[in-house]
Amino acid sequence: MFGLLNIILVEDNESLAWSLKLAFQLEGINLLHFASGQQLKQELPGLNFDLALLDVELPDDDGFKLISQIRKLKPLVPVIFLTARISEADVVKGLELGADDYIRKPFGNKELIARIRAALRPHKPISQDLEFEGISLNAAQLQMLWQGSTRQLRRREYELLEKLVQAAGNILSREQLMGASDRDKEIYDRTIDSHISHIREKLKDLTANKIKVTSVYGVGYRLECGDN
Amino acid sequence: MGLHAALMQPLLQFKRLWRENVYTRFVFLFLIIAVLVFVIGNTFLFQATKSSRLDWKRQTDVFVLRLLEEGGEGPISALARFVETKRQLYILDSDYWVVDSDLKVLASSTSNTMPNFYSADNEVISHESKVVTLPQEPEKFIYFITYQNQARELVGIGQFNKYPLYLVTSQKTRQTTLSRMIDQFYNWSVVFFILAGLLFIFISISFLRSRARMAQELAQLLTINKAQETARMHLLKEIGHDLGSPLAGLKSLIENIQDSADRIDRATQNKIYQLCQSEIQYVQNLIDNILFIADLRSEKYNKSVGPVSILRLLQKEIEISRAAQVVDRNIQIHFTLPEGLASEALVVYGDELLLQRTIKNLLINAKKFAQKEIEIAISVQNKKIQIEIKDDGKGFSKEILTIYEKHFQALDRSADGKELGLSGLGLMIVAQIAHLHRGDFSISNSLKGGAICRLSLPTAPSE
Repeated sequence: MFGLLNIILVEDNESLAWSLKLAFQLEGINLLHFASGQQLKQELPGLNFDLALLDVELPDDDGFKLISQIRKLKPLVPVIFLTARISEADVVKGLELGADDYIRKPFGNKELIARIRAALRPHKPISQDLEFEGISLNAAQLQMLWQGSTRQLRRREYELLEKLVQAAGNILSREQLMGASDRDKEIYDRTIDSHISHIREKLKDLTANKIKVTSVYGVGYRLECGDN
Repeated sequence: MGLHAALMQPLLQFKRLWRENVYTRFVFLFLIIAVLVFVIGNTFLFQATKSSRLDWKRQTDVFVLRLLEEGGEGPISALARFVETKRQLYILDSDYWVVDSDLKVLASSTSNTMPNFYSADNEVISHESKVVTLPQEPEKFIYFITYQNQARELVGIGQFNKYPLYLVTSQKTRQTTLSRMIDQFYNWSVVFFILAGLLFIFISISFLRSRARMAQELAQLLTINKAQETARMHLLKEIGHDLGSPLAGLKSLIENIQDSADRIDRATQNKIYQLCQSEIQYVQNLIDNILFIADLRSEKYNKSVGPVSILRLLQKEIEISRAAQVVDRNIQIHFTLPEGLASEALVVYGDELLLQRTIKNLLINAKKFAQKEIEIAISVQNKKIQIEIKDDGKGFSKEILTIYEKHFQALDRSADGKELGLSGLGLMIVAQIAHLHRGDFSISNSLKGGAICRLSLPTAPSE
């Protein structure tokens, strides 16, 4: 189903890395392990991979710093954080830096693989031509179009925007916006807020503040045409 | 300027007291009232005393005359008894002379010298002349009652049964009992006021001081408590994080066996068990460190104290560190003993095991973060051994340095979020041991970015 996936893992716990490598191998996934951020940085330019798993707490660097370097070279490759940190602030920080998902240690091998698959699953558009007040979406490229110019969206951002566009100005609750893989409700409430804020910035940039995502306190979000 | 400051200092102090404490105002007003009472008393009360002098004289005349009338016994004992019964005690306090009309002394108090007496017209009635011109020829005794050391004057002449009576007194004695009481009360009250005022000042100052000190101590205590609380929470959080990593490893390893035992060969299975063991060992080490910190102040470490050679410990640990190199990392450890530094000077009075642990932890930490090399320096300054361990790693994060600075006296010395079990907790242990030995421990970053750990321990007193 996946062909041969290449996944990189930056993790300083050798046992965990070895174990994941074994588990992934049994699932037909190729895992390339780096023990430190430094090691990854050296090889990053020539590296080809489909997804990155980053430990947040590394002895020489933290995963939060690594992600920006990965994003520079591979803007679309999904990044998943692995961490023992449980505070919401940490989760939100990771997501704001552009992570696609966030998995708490200790996690199960199956859970991790399921998350990886979810992050890599080709996006099936809800409808072919979604349009709202002049803004349209390109599912294949994960892009949004406005008067001839485009903006790249990340996967989770695209999914959320797609739902908002489909709702055509109606309010969507966080539950409605939440994907099937978003099980950890408390954290994902905040992750939606974080993704929405990314979408807002991109929309503001693209449409000169014509199209906005507005939050309706206690209810959810909706798309709004800024003329009114 | 010095003089000005010296003059201003108490003024400023007073101003501060006035502003800060209501008691100062109280005491100040109290003093002002005391001064007013003194001045007013001097002006008015004294007038009252003067005006009552005739009354007094008359009374005394009567008393003395009655005394004579009673007769019978000797005049001195009769006078004494009279004075006692009438409670005219003030007369007994003074010197008196009983003289006849020729001013010949018939009886007197202890004093032998007769003072000069003066008539009402300020004429000196000299006893030396032995002759006094009197309006009538006296037949019996004349009583002179007087006070020593006062300006004397003849204040009145009375007559009873043809016996003339001369009363000689000083200004001070011209008082009624009442006026004298008022006088005394007034005098004492001034003293009382002044003493009370001083007492008030003293009490309020000491009260202020103690209150300020108490407030300060309380604030300190609260800060320390808060810092300790923060540090404790921080530590718990870090320990929580730190347990996550080995547990993640264990969970993943066990799941591999659980889910895919049939697809894994024997060698791989063995490797899984071995890794599980090492993860468990990691957790065990972490717990050991936590328990060690909790146990650090217990008595068992106080029993084995003695002189410990820091140099020997350091050299031994460096040797071990050099030998136990991680395969893919070859870290150079540089250490040279400065010339002229005698190894006898590098002795600390303390627990050898604890001190060894300190140095070991510092080296483990440096080795963990170093890229290529570690520099170790040792010196003695002000009877303190300074050990500085520098590595060329990424250094401590800003957050950690801030936490360390803020909670300097507090529990927490964790150096890094990662692997507290072997580095952060290790540094905390170092700090705790340093404090136990009346030493100090600090962390900083070098300009190049590497971490610097400084351990300072007092040298053992040389015999």
